[in-house]
Amino acid sequence: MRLTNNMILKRYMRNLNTSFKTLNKLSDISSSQQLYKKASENPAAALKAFNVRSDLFKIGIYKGNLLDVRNILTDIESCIATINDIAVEVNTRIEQAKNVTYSETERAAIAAVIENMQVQLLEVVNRRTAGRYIFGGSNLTEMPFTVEDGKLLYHGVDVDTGIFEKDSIYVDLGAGMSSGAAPVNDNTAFDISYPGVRLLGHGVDEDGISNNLYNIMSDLVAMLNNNDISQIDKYQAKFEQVISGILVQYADIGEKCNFVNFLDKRLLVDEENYLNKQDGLEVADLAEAFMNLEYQKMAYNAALKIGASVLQGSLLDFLS
Amino acid sequence: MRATFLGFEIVRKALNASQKGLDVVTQNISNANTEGYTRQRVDLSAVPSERGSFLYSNSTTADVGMGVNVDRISQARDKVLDYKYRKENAINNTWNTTLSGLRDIENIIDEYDKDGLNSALLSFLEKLHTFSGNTANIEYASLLRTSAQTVAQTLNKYAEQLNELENLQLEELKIVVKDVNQLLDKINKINTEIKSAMVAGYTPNELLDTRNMYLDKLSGYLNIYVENNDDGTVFVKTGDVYLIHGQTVNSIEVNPGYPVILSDSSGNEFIVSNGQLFAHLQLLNGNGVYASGNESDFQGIQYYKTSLDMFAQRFAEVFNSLNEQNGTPKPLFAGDSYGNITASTISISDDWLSDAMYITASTQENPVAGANDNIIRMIQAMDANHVISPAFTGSFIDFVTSLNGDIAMDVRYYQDMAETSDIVLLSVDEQRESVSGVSLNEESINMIRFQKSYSAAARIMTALDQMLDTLINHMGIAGR
Repeated sequence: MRLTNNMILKRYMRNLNTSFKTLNKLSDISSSQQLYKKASENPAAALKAFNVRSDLFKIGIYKGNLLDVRNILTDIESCIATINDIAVEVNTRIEQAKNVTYSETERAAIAAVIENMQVQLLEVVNRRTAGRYIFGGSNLTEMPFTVEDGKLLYHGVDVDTGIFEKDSIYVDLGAGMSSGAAPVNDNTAFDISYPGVRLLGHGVDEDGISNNLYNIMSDLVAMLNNNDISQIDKYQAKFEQVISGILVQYADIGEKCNFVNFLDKRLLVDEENYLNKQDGLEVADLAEAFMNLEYQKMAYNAALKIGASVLQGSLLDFLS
Repeated sequence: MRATFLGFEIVRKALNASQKGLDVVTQNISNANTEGYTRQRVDLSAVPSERGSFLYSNSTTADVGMGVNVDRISQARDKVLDYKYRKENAINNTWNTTLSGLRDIENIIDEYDKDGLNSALLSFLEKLHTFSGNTANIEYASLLRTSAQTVAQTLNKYAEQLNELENLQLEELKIVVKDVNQLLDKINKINTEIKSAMVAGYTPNELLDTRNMYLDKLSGYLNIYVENNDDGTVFVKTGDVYLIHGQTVNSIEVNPGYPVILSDSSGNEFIVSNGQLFAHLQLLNGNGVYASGNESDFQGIQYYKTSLDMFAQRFAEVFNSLNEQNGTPKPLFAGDSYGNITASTISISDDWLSDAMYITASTQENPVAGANDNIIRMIQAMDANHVISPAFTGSFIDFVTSLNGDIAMDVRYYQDMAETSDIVLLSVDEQRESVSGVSLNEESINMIRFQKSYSAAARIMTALDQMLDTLINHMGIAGR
C-alpha cells in the first residue's frame, strides 16, 4: 500500500485524540470517583444502579416510618407503666380502706386520693406527643377521653354503653405491605393506632360492673365516700382483673417493639447490601483509577513523543 | 534516410515532457494539503517512427521512434473506492447524526447524574408516607401536594424540552435539505462545464476534483449512486429516483407535521435509506413500539413524547380514581381545558390547588380525623403494577427507569456502531488517499527524475549542436 504524509498525519491525529479522550475520561473518574456520568456509558450497570437507588430511597422512607413507630411504642410503653404505677397505688389504698378499723373520714380521704389518681390516669391516656394523641385510635387530633357527669367518654361515646369498632392507622414498614379487596392486610402493614378504649376497657360484665378502669375507680370512690365496703372485694377483684388485662397489653407492646427491632435490623442489613451493590456499580476504586490514570498519562506522553519523530522527515530534507 | 534536423524535434519533445513533469510535481506539491485534491501525473507515450508505406522505402534501415509525447495530465483516482467511500459515508452519517440527536434526548431523560422524573416520583412516595401518619395535618398535606406538583411540572418540562428538540431537528433537517438542493445545483453546473471542457479537448482535473468533493459531501446527506457518462457528466440517483439526470435537477422539499416526509419536485414521497436526511427523519418520526403501519419503529423523539403522554395520562387516571370518594369524582390531576391529560398539560387540579386537604385520606362513610386507609392505597398504587402503555406493565417508577434504559441502550448502541463505522470510513478514506494522495517523497523523487531527464535531454541537444557544427563548419573545408 502506498503511504502518503497525509495518511500518517490523519492516523496519528486520530490516535492522539483517542489517547487524549481516554486521559480525560480517566481523570474524570479519578476526580469524581464516579465510574460513569451517563447511563449510556454502561446501560446494564446503570439500570441496576437505578433500581438500587429506588430501593435505598424506599429503605430511607421505611427507616423514617420505623423511627416514628418506635417513638410511639415507647410512649405507649411508658404510659402503660405509669398506669400500672397508678394501679398499684390504688390497690394499696383499697387494701387500707378495707381495714374495718378505718373511719368514714379516713375512707373519704382514700376516696380523694383515688379521685386524684383518676385525674392522673386521664392525664396519661390523653397524652399528646409530637402533635398526636397516642391513645386516640385513628383520631389523632382530638382529645380522646372526656368526663361528663362522672362518666368516662371516649370520643364522646360512653365507654360502658358504646360499641367500639376496630379502627387503625397503617404504616408501611417495608414488610411487603399488600392489600386485596380490603384496604390493607394486617399481617404486612403495621397498625400504629392505639385506641385508649381498648386499653382501659369498655362495656359492662354480667354483674353490671364496668369493664373500664376509670369507671371502676369511680365506683370505688363512690363506695368509699358512702363508707360502704360490702361490695369492695368484688370491685377490687374486677379492678385487678382489668389491670392484668392492661399488663397483657404491656407485653403486647413489648412484642411489637421486638417486631420493630427485627424489621429495623433487616432494613439495616438490606441497606448495607444495597450500599455494597451501589459501590460495585457506581463507585470507582480509587487505587485502580489512579493507576489507570498514571498509565494513560505515560501512554499519552509517549504518543506525543512519537509524533515529534514520525511527522518530520521526507526525502526533501536530505536533498542537496 | 534520416532527416538532418530530426534529433532537435525529438529533444524538444523530451524537454517539453520533462518540463510538464516538473510542472505537475509543482502542482502536486502545492496542493498536497488541498482538500479533495487528486494527485496528477503526466501520461507519456513513445512516438513511433513516421514510416508509413513508402514505395521506395528502405526496409533494411532500423527505424527509431520519434521521441516522447505528452498525452494528457491525468488523475490517479479509483472509481470503485469512490463508490465504497460514498456508501460508507452515508452509513457513517446515519450513525453519527442519529447519535447526536439521541444524546440530546438523553440529556433530557437521563437521570443518572441529576434529578428528574424518577426522583420526583420517589419524593412523592416519601411525602405520601409522611402524610399517611399525619392525615389531619395540613402542613404534611401541602408538602404532599407540592411533591405531586413537582411530578406534574417535571413531566411538563420534559414535554417542553422534547418539543424544542423536535423543532430543532426539523430546522436541522431543513438546513440539510437546502444544502442538498444547493449541492445538486452545483454538481449540475459543474457537469456542464466539464462537458464543454472535454469537448474542447482538455482534461478539467480541478473541476473533477471539485465535483467529487461535492459528491462526497452529498453522500453524507443521503445514500447516492453516481453514474459516470462518457461525456464527463455524472447522473446521481437515490434508490430508483434520479436526483440529477441530464440537465434536470430533482430538488427535495420538507413537509412538516407527523410524520415529517420529504417529497421530490414531482410531488412524490422521496425515500432515503441512509445519511443525515435519514437520521433526522428517524429522530423526528421514530415512534418505537407505538408505531403503526409504515411508521418508523426507531425510538425517536416521538416515542419519548408518546411514552410520557401515556405515563402522565395513566398516572393521573390512577390517582384521580383513587381519590374518588363514595362515587363522587374528586380529581387530583387535571389536563387542558378539554380534559386531555398529556405530559405537557398535566397539572394539579384547581380544587386540590385551593385546598391541600382535598386529597381523600379515607373512603369510610364518616371517617375520623386521622384515618389514612386511602393514603395507604395510594402508597400501594405507587408500588403496584399498572398497564401504563400497550408495551409496558409495571410500576410508575419502573416505567421511568425503563425509559432511562431505552435511551441509554440506544445511545450506547449508536455510539458503538458510529465508532465501528468511523474506523471503516477511515480505512476506505485511507485506501483512497493511498491512491489519490500526494506523497512528498514520491514528488521529490519525481522532481529529481524530471530534472535529470531534462538535463540529459539538454545535453543531447548540445551533442546534436556539436554534430551539426562539425557537419556544417568543419566538413568539406579541406584545402580551403
